[in-house]
Amino acid sequence: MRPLPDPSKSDPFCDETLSHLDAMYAVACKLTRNPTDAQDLVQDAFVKAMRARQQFQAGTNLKAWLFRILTNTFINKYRRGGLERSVLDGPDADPLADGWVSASTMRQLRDPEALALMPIVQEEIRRALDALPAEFRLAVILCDVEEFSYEEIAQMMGCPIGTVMSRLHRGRKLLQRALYNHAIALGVIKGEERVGDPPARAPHNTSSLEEYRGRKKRGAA
Amino acid sequence: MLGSYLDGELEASTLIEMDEHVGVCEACREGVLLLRAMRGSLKQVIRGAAPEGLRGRIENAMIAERERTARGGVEAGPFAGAALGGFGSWRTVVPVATAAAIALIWGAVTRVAPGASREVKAGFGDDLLQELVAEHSQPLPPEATNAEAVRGLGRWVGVPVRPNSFERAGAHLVGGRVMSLRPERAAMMQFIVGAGDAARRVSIYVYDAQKIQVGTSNLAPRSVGTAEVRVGREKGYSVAATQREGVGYLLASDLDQDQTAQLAAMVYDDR
Repeated sequence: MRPLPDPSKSDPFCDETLSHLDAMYAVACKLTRNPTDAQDLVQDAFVKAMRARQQFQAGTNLKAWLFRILTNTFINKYRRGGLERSVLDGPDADPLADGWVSASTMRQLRDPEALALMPIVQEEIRRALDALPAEFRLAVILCDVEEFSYEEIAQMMGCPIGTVMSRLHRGRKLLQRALYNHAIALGVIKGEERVGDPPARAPHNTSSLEEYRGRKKRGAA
Repeated sequence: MLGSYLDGELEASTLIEMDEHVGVCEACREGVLLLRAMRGSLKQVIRGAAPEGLRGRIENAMIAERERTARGGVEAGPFAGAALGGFGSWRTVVPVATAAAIALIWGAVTRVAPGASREVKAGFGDDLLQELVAEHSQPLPPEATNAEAVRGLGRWVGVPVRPNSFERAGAHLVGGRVMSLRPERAAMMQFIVGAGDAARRVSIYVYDAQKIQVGTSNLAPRSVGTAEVRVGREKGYSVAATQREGVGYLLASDLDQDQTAQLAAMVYDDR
C-alpha cells in the first residue's frame, strides 16, 4: 500500500521532479535490466536531487538535470569501473562499416508489413538493446527515446560530444545489425554479402557525401 | 553523419547539403528512414509507467531527505567547530596567531550558502585518479607561491580556488599550479602539515566537477559531520574526494586516511 505523505510537508520541488518519474523509471529499467534495481536507482536519484536542489538553476532544463543525476548514480553504483573495459572487448572491436546493407534491405527492415512479425521484432529490439554495452545503451536511450541534445548527453555521461556521437553511432549500428540478423534468421529477408570482415561494401550505388561534394564542386567549376 | 542529421545536430550549411544529398541518394534516404523507424520502435520498447507505490515511496524519501538536510544546515555552525577540534594535534604545530593572521587575510573570501552538493558525478576516470596521485608523489615546483596567487589560479580552471579553509585546519600553504587535464584544467594546491620530521605533504586538486570526473569508485564513502567524502588509498597515499556546489576536490596526501578525510571535509567549512 502506498504510504500517504503528510500533506503539510508537500513540496512543489517534489511534485515537479516526480512528474518525470515514469520516464526516469523506464530508462532506469533499461539501464539496470532489473525492476527492483531500477526502483532503487530512481529513488537514489530523486533523493540526491532533493539534497542538491540548491544547485538546480531555475529556468534550466529540470528533466536534463534529473537525468544527469540518474546517469551518474547508475555509473557510480551499478557500473563502477567496468564501464570502460566493456567498450574495449565488447562488440566495439568489430568494425561497423557504413553501407553494410543495401537500400532495399533497409527498406524491408523498417517496413513492418514486410517483416509481418512486429511483436517479435519488438522483442528482438528489446533483446538487442539489453545486449548493448551500457554506455552505448545509455547514449541511444538518452538520444532516441528521451531526445536530449548531444551536449546534454555529454554532460550526463561526463564525456566529450564526439564520444557521445561515436557511442550513438555504434549503438544504433549494433541494433540494426541485430535486427538484420534476426530478419535473416526468420527468412524474412535474404542475406546479402556477409556483414563485417572485410567490411562489406554494399552493392548499391553509394555516393558518400564527400563524393557528392566533390561532384558538386566539379559541376560548379 | 546520418545520425547527426536525424538528431538535428548538424550545422546549417551541412544540413542543407545533407538535405540535397538525401534527396538524390536512395541509400541515405533509406538509412534515415530506418533510423527513424528504429527510434519509434525503441520508444515503444521503453515506454512504461512506474509501478504503483513507487511515487509515494520516493516522495517520502525525498521529504525525509529535505528534513535531514534542513537539520544539517542548522547544525553546520557547531559542527564546524567540532571538526576543527579534530585537528588538535595539527594546530599545535602551527601557532594559533599565524592561523588567525591567515584567517584575517582570507576573511574577505566570498561565503557560499550552506547546502548540499555531494557525489553526483564521477565514475569515469580511474586513470585520472592515478595520474593525480602520481603528480602528488613527484610534484613539479609550484607556479604560485602565495595565497593571493593561488587564489588567482581560479580564473584558469573556471572554479574558485580557496586555500583558506584548509589553512584554518592547520595546513600550511606552500603554493599551487595549474594542471592540464586533456581538454580541461585543474588547480593543484600544495600544503605541508606539521613540521620537521613530522611534516607531511598534502596536494589538493580543485576542478569543475561538471567537466572533470575523477574515478572514485575504489574509495569508500564516509560522513565527516555533515560532509560526505570518499576515502581510500592509492599507490600508498591517502586519497579523499568530495564535491561542493559543482566544484570537485581531490586530496592526495602523506597523512593517514582519517586525517585526509577530515581535511577534505573542511570544504564544507564556511567561516
